[in-house]
Amino acid sequence: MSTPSTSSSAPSPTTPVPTSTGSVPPPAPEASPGPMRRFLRRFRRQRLAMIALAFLVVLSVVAALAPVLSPYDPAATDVPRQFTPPGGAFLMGSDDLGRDAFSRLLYGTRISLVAPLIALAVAIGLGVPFGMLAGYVGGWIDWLISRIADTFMSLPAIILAIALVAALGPSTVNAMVALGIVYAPRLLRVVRGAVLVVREETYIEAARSVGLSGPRIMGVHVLPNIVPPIIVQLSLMFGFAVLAEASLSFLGVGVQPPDASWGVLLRRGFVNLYEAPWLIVPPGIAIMLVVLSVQLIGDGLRDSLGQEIRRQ
Amino acid sequence: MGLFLLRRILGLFPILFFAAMITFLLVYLTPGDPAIAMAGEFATPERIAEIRERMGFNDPFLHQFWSWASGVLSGDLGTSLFNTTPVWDLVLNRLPVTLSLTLLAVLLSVVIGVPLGLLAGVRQNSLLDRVLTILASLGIATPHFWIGTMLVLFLALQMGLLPATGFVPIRENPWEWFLHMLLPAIALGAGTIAEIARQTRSGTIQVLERDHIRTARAMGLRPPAVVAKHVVKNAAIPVVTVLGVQVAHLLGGAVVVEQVFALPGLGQLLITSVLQRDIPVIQGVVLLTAVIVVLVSLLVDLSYTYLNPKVRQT
Repeated sequence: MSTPSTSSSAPSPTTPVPTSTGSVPPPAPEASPGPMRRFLRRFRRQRLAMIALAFLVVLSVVAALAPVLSPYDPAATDVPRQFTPPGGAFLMGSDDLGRDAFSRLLYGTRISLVAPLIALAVAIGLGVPFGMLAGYVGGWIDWLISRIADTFMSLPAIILAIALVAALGPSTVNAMVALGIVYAPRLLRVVRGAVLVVREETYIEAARSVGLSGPRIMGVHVLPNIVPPIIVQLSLMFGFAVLAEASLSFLGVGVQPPDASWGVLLRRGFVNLYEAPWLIVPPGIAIMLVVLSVQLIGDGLRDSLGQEIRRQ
Repeated sequence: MGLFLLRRILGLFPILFFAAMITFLLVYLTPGDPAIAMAGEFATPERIAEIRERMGFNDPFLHQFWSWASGVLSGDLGTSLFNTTPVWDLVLNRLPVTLSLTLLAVLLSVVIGVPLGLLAGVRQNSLLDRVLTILASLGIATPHFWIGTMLVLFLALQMGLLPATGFVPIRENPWEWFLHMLLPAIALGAGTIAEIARQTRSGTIQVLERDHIRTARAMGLRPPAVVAKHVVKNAAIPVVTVLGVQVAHLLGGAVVVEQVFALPGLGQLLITSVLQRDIPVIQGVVLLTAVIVVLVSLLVDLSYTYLNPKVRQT
C-alpha cells in the first residue's frame, strides 16, 4: 500500500488504486483522475467565476456567429458616409472609410480571442517541457534554465515582444509567437515549482524504483498531476495576452490589416480621435470586460487548487 | 547583511550575461539572411554587403558575440543602421522622458494608492472599500493606452483642463513639464495605483489583526495614531514588492503610453526602429531596460532589509 503522503490529504472515497495494487510488487501506479476532477468540482462552485465563464462563452458564440449577427460586411467601405455618429444607420457609427464600427467590433472578437491562443500554445510548447526538465532533473540544468527564465522575466514584456517582432518581421502570427516566447518563462516557473512538489511523492519514487525511464515518469506520472496549476497560470496569461495583443496592435506591430482585432480598431479610433471620438470607446470596453472575466475565472481556478499544490 | 548584499550582487552577473546574450541573439531570429532583412526592400547588393560587414556577419559566431559584448562593456552599443549616430547617444537622449514618466507614475501610485488602501483596509467592507475593490479590478483589466486616450478625450479635448499631447523638457519649464506629463502618468499608473491600493488594503487588514495592534488600541492609542505608528511600516512591505514587480511592467507600458501623448521617449525610438528594422537601436533599448529593471529589483531587495530586519539574517 502506498503510504499516505501529503497528496492524499483529501479523504475521497473514490480512490480505488490501493485495493487493486495491494499485495503484488507495485506495478506502475495508474495516473489517477483524482487531482483534475477534484479541481474542476471545486471550480464549479465559484459563482463569480462561473458568471465570467458564461460571459466568455457567449462572446465566443458571438464571434462564431459574426457573419450572421453583423448588419454590414465589416470590410465594405462607404466613403461618402464616413464618420457617421452612432445611432442612425450605424449602431456604433462608421469609421474613416465608412465601415460599420459595430460589425467590425463583432468580427474583431474573433481575432482578439483566437490570437492570444497562439501565444499560449507557444508558451506551453516552450514552458512546459523546459519547466519539467528543470524541476525533475535539477542540478546545473535547473540552474541554467532558471537563470535564462529569470533573465527573460527581467525584460519588460512589451519591449521584448516588440523587439522579437522586429526580428521575426511584423505579422499577426509572429506577434503572437513573440508574446508566447515572452510568457513561456512565467509558465516555466510555475511548472518547475509544481514538479518540485510532485517529484517527492511516493508514487514517483515507486515508478522510479521499478525502473521506469525519466521521460516516461515525467509524461505519464508527473504531467497529469501538474495540470491544474498550469491551467491557472494559462488563464491569467490569456488575460495578459489579450492586453498585450491590443498594445502591440495599437502600436502597429501586432495584428496586421486586413485582419482587425480590437487592438487594430483602437489604433484606427486613435488616429481618427478628433473626427470620430466614438470609435475608440467600444473596443476598449470589450477588452476590459474580457480581461476582467478572465481574471475572475483565474481567481476562481486558483481558489480551486488543492491545498497540496497551493501551499508551495 | 554584508554577505546578503554580496550574494545578491553576484547573482546579478548571470542575469546580465544572459540578457546580453538574448539581446545579441535577436539578430539571428530574423528568418533568412539578417543582412538582407535589415537592408530593407529595395536594397542594393552593396548596401547588403555593407550591413553584413558592419554587423560582423562574416565573422565566426563566438567572435561576433565577443566583439559585440566587449563593445557593450566599454559603452559602445554600435551605431544606428540608418544614420551613423551612436546607439548610446540615441538611447540616452530618449531615456529621461521615459524614465521621468515611469517615476511620476510610481510616485502617483504611492501617493494615491497607499492612502486609498489604508482607508479601505481600516474600514473593511464599507462602501468605499467595495468601490475601491471594483475600481482596482477594472484598473488592472484596462489597457494603459486606452485610459490615456479616454483622458485625452474627456479632460483635454472636451474640458480643456490639461494639454492633450506634447512634451516640454523639465529644464525649460518645470510647471509645463508637469502639466504635460500628468495625464500620461495617470494613464500609465492607473493599474499600479489599483494594485498598490489592493496590496495596502490586505496588508492593513492583516496588520490590524495582530496582537501588538490590539494591545496598542487597548492602551488607548486612538485609531489614526495606531495606523500612523504601526500599520504603515508593516503594510509597506507588500507595497515595495508590488513596486518592484511593476517597474518592468511600467517601463513597457510607458513605451505604449508615449505614443498616445506624442512624448519623445524610448517608445517612439523603439517603434521607429522596428519599422526600419534598425536592430542595433532595438538591442540598445532592450539591454538598457533590462539593466534598469535588474538594478531596481536590487534596490527593492535592499529596501526589504530596511523594512524587515529578519531578512538581514538570511
